Amino acid sequence: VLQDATLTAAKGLLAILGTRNDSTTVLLDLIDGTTRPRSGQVRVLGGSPEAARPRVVRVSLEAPLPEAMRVDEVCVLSGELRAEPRALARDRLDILGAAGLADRMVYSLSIEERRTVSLAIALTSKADVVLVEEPLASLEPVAPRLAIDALREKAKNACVVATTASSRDAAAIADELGLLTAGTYRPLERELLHVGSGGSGSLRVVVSPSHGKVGAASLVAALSSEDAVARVETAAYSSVASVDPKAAAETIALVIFGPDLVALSRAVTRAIGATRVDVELVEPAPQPLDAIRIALADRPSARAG
Amino acid sequence: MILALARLPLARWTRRRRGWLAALGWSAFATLAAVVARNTGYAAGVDHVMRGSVGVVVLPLLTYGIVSASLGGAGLRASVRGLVALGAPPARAALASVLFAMAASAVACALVSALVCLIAHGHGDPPLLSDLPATVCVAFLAGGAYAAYFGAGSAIGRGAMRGLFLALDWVLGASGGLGAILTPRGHVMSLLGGPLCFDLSRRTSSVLLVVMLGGYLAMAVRLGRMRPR
Repeated sequence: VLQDATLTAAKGLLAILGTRNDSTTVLLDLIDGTTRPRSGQVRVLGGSPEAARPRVVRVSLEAPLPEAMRVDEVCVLSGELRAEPRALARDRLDILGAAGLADRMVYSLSIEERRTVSLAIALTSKADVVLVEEPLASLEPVAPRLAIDALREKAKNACVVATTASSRDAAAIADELGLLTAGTYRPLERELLHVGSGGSGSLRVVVSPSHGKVGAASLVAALSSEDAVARVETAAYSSVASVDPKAAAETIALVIFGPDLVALSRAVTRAIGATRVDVELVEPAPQPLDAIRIALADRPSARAG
Repeated sequence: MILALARLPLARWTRRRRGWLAALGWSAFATLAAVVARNTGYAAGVDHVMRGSVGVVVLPLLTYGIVSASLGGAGLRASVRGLVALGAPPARAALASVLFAMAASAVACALVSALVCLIAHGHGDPPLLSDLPATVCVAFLAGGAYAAYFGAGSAIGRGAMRGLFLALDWVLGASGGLGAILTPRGHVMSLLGGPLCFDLSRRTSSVLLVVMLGGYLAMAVRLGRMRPR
């Protein structure tokens, strides 16, 4: 149940971190008028959620679509219902690389395909408010990479509110961040995605395929002598930007944890310099959702409040 | 917008086997009953078949099948989820689905009744020229009223009440008591020449069927407009 949620979203992309247990779905239900608040007020585009309904589009995790229709018919119907100029279904779907689904029957689609179609329809609609649950999850393989750009493009002219349990997805798309914890909403500063309690954090280092496992091993050896490094983990490199699955499989990512993110950064830089390992990417790794909550709770302002 | 929204129940009815099988099956059953009545040599064959197997079994079950197929076998709210997700107002989506089911049921019931009338007509029945339009009109009205009635049942809960409404129609409608006023069966049987429903005149029964048609439609739309996730 939402109990303390005051937020205003304008044009741009607001990513709200939280799970369904934290009432992310209820929050979107309130915005699109599915649920009415017992107390408090919801205003959408200056009026009631019901009045704003034709200008709001939502992509839920279930992504319900008319199951007896073809995907291209669904695209046409969606445009007619919102009084939008007629557009080719394939063009609409191509925004997420899903033009090939145009001739399929909806009932034959997997949940990932259905969500991709739903998201493509939402992002190519004229809606002024776009509500998306888990914008980069449960999509067709190539769709997440394209979805980031499409979401950002849509956010230039519309208010996009995305809820996600993935801090990494939130970091990838958001202009603004919020955190929903057990029905209580708080705005979130971007640094909290990366800096944990007491300044701790982690860095993700992607070793290029040319150096592969040998390079990663020498880097780990160099890091083991650094005091700033608490532990090193290898991680699957499944960047939303990766297109070639073979190259992605040969790429090794290390996630390096330390109690002080600044000292950790220096240590990693030293290790890379010393080993001369070719790395593709060094970036702060987003904290898991629970770590963000702990960091937020540990802040002086939170304790005072 | 209603026409655009009616594309989904139309697609469900035409593209899924469930819709065709129900309509064809019950039509075949009615035709068989008419042929049997004709071959048996009933003087009032139309009366016998319409007040018997068609009025009691075919009209309600044919309509039930059409409503069920139009809603994809689900409840009303679940059946319009896909339309609502595309931006349709829930009330209009529900209205389009139930209106389509009503129109399809009314036409199907009228066609089946016309077929029965033509096949089973005997010398004891009223002249075909007057009996045919009267029977078709009653069946048309019955189809629409039954569809609205089942539509309202589909809008309650997850749609399982549709079956309960069918059972109620059989139980209450057959009793001829006060409860029969609320279900289509008693009125339909009265209009087909059977016993009066709760001693109401046939004119009153026909008016009540029209009221039922509008009332249950309004009830279905009102209950169906609550939006599912």
